[in-house]
Amino acid sequence: MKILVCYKYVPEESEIKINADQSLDLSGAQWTISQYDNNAIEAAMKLADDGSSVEVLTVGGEALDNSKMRKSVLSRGPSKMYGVRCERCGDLYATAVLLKQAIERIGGCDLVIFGEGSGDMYSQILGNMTGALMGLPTLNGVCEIRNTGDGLIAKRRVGHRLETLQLATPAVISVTSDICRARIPSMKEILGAGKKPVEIWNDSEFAQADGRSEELSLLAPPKAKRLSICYKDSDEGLESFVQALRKHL
Amino acid sequence: MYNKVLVFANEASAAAELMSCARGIASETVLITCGEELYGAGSVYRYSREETLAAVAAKLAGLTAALKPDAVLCEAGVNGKLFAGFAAAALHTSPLCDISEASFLPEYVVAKRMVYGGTAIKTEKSGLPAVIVASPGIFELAAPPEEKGAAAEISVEGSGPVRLLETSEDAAAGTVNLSSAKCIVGVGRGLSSPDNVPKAEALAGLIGAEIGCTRPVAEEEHWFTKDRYIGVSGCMLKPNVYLALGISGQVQHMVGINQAGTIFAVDRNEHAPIFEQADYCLHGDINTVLPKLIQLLK
Repeated sequence: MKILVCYKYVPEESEIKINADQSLDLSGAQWTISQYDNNAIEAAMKLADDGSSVEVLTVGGEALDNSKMRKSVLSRGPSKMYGVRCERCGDLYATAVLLKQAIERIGGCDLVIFGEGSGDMYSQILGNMTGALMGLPTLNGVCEIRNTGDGLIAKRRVGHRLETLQLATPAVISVTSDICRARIPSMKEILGAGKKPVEIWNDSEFAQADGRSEELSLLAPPKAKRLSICYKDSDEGLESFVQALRKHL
Repeated sequence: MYNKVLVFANEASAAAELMSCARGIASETVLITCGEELYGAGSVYRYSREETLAAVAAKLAGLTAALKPDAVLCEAGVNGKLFAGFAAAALHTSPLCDISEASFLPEYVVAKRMVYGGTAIKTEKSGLPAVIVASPGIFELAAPPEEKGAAAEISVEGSGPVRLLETSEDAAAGTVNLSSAKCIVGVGRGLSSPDNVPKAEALAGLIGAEIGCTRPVAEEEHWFTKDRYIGVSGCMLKPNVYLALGISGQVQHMVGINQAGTIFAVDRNEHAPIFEQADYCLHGDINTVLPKLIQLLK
């Protein structure tokens, strides 16, 4: 089975600074693989049997050319990285249109796996759109997947209902973050990752969709003013804290 | 006023809310659901509860595109996101996801949502047709019109490469609805040990609170189910009282709760950012403070 995992490089959330005008300063934030995509990659590695291949595909900017970022994804097991470089990456629709074409250029695959949602925008919808555009059976919320030889059996979590589904391939699935634990690559895996092949295209090589949505602003929310009354762990402090709590219940 | 708005919703509360919005902004409404009620919809496309949305999504999206709606409103959650993805692909548009606010203007829709794990609010606009996934509780409820039964009903059956083998109750899923809780106890990694989980639960029980938690506590420590996790997916909580136990107060978490009426915080680090963002703070070790608090509240 040929498996392709789509993933995203996102800025490290804890390194995002907030400017005085409430806008975001991303300049000091390092790139990282969106954490839910690490679970998707590991799910692919676990699903792959002897005759299978696992490769990865991303759409993004400068992070694609960062050798540490390339090693970071390839050290998790995939045998090859594909990337579509875009200077100004588009909205969800534009990205889904690019991914569809990139998957076709790769030569298609039996299963495309997406993570639960990206760590930055967390729209949880790109996999669904890509699958729909490709006209393939598409599932989200997949918390278990296995290969029966003549198809896939997936468990899909919808609220409190757990669906067990049979799925013909090729197919597109988005897996939940608890499908499996992501691996921590060993030093050997990191060193080996540097030797794995990488193929990068520019978005100008593909037909591009016009943006259908436009960002008007991206601002940190205003902080509410709070009292900040502090008590110590003493009989008196605890009593006052509990009194205040009781008063507000 | 829009000509036509479609609503996709299976949950009764979401269907009532999204249909209220749709009736207010459009002259014609269509409901896609596996539920029974109409909520005043002009027509209904229904699929069976015994079916999975994954088997009918492509067909429903085709019908959606043929109706040429100005907007499609989808409930939050796994099915809402699956339908929104198919509808957006069929309508060649980019969906607005997990929005917490929306303005429906003649040429476009402007919506707000939380991004970067709560660090920022993104305001974006989408031309028409717009596909929207709405967080629960953002539209006013309105009573549906009296006349009933005029709705045209079309049933949609699944076929093709996705087959539902069985359904069961998911033991791993929780049942909590934090967005309606009046009082919430938030648990962070500073709770320090899973042994303190029953104590946090006891404390919550004493003050009639629901338990919420931070991302690491749900996803890495697995102390609580994921539905209790605060600070992502556009979930802005507005309890009267929020009591944080062992939460340092990273901005990603605080955004989810900064609309709480009064914030209480217990933490061992007196320089924890949460102390600047809380009303009443208690500086102490959770292991010793928690039993004392329980004793005092009994």
